[in-house]
Amino acid sequence: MYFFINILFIFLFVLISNLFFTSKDNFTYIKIAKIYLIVLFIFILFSIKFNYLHFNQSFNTLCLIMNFMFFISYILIIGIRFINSPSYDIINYLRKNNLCEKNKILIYLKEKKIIKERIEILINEKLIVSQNNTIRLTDNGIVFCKTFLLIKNFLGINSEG
Amino acid sequence: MSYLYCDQKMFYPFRIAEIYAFIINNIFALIVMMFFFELKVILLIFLLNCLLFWIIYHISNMIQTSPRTKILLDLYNYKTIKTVDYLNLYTVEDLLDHRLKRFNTSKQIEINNNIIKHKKTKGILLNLVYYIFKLLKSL
Repeated sequence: MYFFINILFIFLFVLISNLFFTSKDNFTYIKIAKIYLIVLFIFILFSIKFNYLHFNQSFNTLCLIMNFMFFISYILIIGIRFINSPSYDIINYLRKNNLCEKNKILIYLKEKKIIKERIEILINEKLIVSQNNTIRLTDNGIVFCKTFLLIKNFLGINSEG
Repeated sequence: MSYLYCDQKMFYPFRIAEIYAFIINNIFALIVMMFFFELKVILLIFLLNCLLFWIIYHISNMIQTSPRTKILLDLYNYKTIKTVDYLNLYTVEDLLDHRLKRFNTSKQIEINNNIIKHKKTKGILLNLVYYIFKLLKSL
């Protein structure tokens, strides 16, 4: 039963966040993480109050872990709702203009100002700060980079972009 | 361990190391769990393993291919840099070259003398991933 309650919770959370975050202007990862943690806390309190959650039952605890992991999976893919991956743009362009020169794709991508747009998103996310035409990481950005560098070195992969 | 053994070989869009780790881990875990847990717990742990695989796949993909992650990791090295200078260091040309290289290795495209041909037939796995992303985008 608690498993299905968790699934329903995730489903409702995704539905409500889709209604709440309709454009990239009002969406930030920090906002959605805060909302999730608050809602999860309320959910746990209600689960305890209505006797659905007993921490001595491992199955219920695993259901909560599943709930959290669904959220992590969701947060990792939610970005594609607001901004297209360059790969997606390239493949879409190639589908419409099959057999085309590399330069034409390059012009198409330059028009989209892909890198500048991403710098602006990072500024909006408060991961980098722009001052006097220079950019640098914020404290949050440094924490993010340290975490990702750790994972990057552990998995032995290169950041190609 | 599987990263040490398989290095970075790809069975696009996944790394072979990740696929092996996922399969071997699940086989061993399922065998051991059969003696200790009831079916619903085993299925839930299997679901957790699948979620973990999906998360690791996305994080490694993000580190390898995401422009935003690259910008952040570059800035970590440069500390402070003029926006104009950075836009000259990381260009759309680099971004396109890396992607074309990846598409080429996954046989999604063919490149002949700067002419790019998109192959319409894709593997089952690639099709599956493409449609999952399309579905998620439409949610």
